[in-house]
Amino acid sequence: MTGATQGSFVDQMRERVDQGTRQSALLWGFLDVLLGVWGISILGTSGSGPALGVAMIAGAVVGMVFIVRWTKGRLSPAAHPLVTQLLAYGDPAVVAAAVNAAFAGRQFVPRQLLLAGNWLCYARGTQVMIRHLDALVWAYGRRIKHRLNAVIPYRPATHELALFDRTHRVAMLPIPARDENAALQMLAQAAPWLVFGYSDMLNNTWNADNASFIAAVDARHAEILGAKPQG
Amino acid sequence: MDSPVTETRNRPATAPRRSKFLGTALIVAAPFLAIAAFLILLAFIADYRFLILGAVLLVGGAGKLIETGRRMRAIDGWELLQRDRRPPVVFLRPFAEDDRLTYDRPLGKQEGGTLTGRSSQKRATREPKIKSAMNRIGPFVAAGRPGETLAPLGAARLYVSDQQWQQTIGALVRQAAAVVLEPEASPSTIWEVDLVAALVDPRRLLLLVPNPKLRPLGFERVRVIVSELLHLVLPTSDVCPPCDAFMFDEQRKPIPILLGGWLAPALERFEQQVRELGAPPKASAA
Repeated sequence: MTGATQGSFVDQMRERVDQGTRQSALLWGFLDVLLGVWGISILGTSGSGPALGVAMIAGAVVGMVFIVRWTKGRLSPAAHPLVTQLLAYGDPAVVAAAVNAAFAGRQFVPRQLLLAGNWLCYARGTQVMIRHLDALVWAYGRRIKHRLNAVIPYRPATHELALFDRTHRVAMLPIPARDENAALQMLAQAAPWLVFGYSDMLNNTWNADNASFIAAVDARHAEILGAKPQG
Repeated sequence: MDSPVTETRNRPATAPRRSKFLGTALIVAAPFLAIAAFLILLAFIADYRFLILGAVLLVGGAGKLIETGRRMRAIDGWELLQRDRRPPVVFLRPFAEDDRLTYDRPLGKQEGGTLTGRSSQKRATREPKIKSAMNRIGPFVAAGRPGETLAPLGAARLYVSDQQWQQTIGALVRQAAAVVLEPEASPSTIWEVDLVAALVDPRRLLLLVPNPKLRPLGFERVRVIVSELLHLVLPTSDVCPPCDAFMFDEQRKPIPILLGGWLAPALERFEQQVRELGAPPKASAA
């Protein structure tokens, strides 16, 4: 798919994402079959009309078609989510080779933000992200509260890293709370020119003065590069 | 403004839909329609959560209908100038500002993570906040964006063709009691800034700027334009207090103004200064 050698870093990522896709398809497929079976059982009971049962069976059929198409699409070489990520930086085979070279000798670890050279990688479940450090402009951690009807908490808060790039793609990476600071510090060491943290001012500037925001990051990048001792 | 100066644009003057009758009918009918729809919901739905959701949607829908009614009733700029013979207050801004929205979350194409619902948004324009104060000085008018179907609320819109707008705006600015300027780097707005620099006494100028505490980079961009073209010196964003606008005294010293709610008398000092100056020289000559 990417021209990478078997067992390379990118292939490990692809393996992980494919596994996530299959698991997700199985789970949703199982729930979809349950819906269909429930619809059939409703058809047979007296009291409730056949409309609900028929609607549930129809929904299950449509759902199954969607699940199969989604799975085939994600596993196909053309629309594979990993290829989509690599395509953002040029020929997928060339980019994959560059990522493999940067991560040479390293093992892929899911649910962790991994950095080598100028490449940042992450994969978890069906999600995969590959970013070049130069493409990033803004990073912050966010805490998500999970509440029913915005009031009743039904699971503990989770943490995500938000990574904004210059093409307005936002990678939201679920990450354990204990790893959040370490990941941001690692990023700050590798790319100190990025904007870190969240505030209303940064939100307004990003939304209203986006070109200036990116230009300011670029200026800082150039300044840091200029200040670095040569050789 | 968007860029009527370029030769490729040659849009004719267009008029938005206006109807006092239909506008009034919408304003009056909207609450009754919402109440009737809610009573229908009440008859068919027992679940209180759906009722609350329905009520919220109906209130929002009624608000939208009322706003449409108000926009249909909005007075035409030429009619306002005919009716009110005082020197006008002219609002110069990029057309894009009319539609710009502010969001409570950073925008972007999200990949992965938790979907936390849509970001709430509101219109960024400060026109409604200054409208009544400006109307006390003189008829508050602005060039209308060609092709819009309903006139926005705020300054009364003057719809002119691309070939005519510079001439029209030039004539209005010459006789204006005050000018409200929202500078930006678009070619048409730069032409307007140059016009203001050539014709307007800074004491008659209300300069709308991005709040330096919320948009420091936007403020800096505007500060440079103002310094280079208007030769007025604004403080840098790190020392400037939170503000939405500046007025200028006789020494061309900038006075920051924070536009508050509807009742905040933020623009009283500007109104007083313009009144003390009297009619503009060109208008008196005319």
